[in-house]
Amino acid sequence: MSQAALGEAVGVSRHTIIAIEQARYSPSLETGFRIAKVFNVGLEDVFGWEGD
Amino acid sequence: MSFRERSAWVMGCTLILIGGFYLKLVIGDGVPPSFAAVPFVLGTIVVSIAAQVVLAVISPREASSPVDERERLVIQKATHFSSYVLATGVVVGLGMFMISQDGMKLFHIVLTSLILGQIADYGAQIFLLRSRV
Repeated sequence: MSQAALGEAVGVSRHTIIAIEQARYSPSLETGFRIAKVFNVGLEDVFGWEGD
Repeated sequence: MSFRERSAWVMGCTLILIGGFYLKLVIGDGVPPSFAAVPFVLGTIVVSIAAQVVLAVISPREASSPVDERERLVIQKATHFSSYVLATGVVVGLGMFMISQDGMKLFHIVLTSLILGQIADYGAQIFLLRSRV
């Protein structure tokens, strides 16, 4: 799946998907769930938190 | 480069060029603001619309898409930053007016602050769109 297609599926721009991939932006919870839903996986399969 | 960043570049450069020309006319050459203000406002509007149309023709898909959550955050942070530039200029202008009682000087300082504030807004948008938000 392309970055543009994923962005369109979850309602953000391709550049925002790129920023999420490069850890330059932490998406909202809603967008996080939308991304996980597109791939039909759980939220923690897509995102993780390394702590402070 | 995203559509929002290209748009910020165009608007920032437009304001630098037209705003700089206006300030040169009014402050440098002593042209009355009432004569220079109309061409400044019209010039800014016409050039901005023309540039946005060109950008929209180049990237019609991005131009028609609404601002997303990251872009909205960037715009909010950039506006917050630019408000300090504008507020600083207004406070300096008011201080100068209290000292000199020169209304025209107050006008110049406030208008310059407005132009600088907008340039700072676009500059901050460009910086934030490229960095971690």
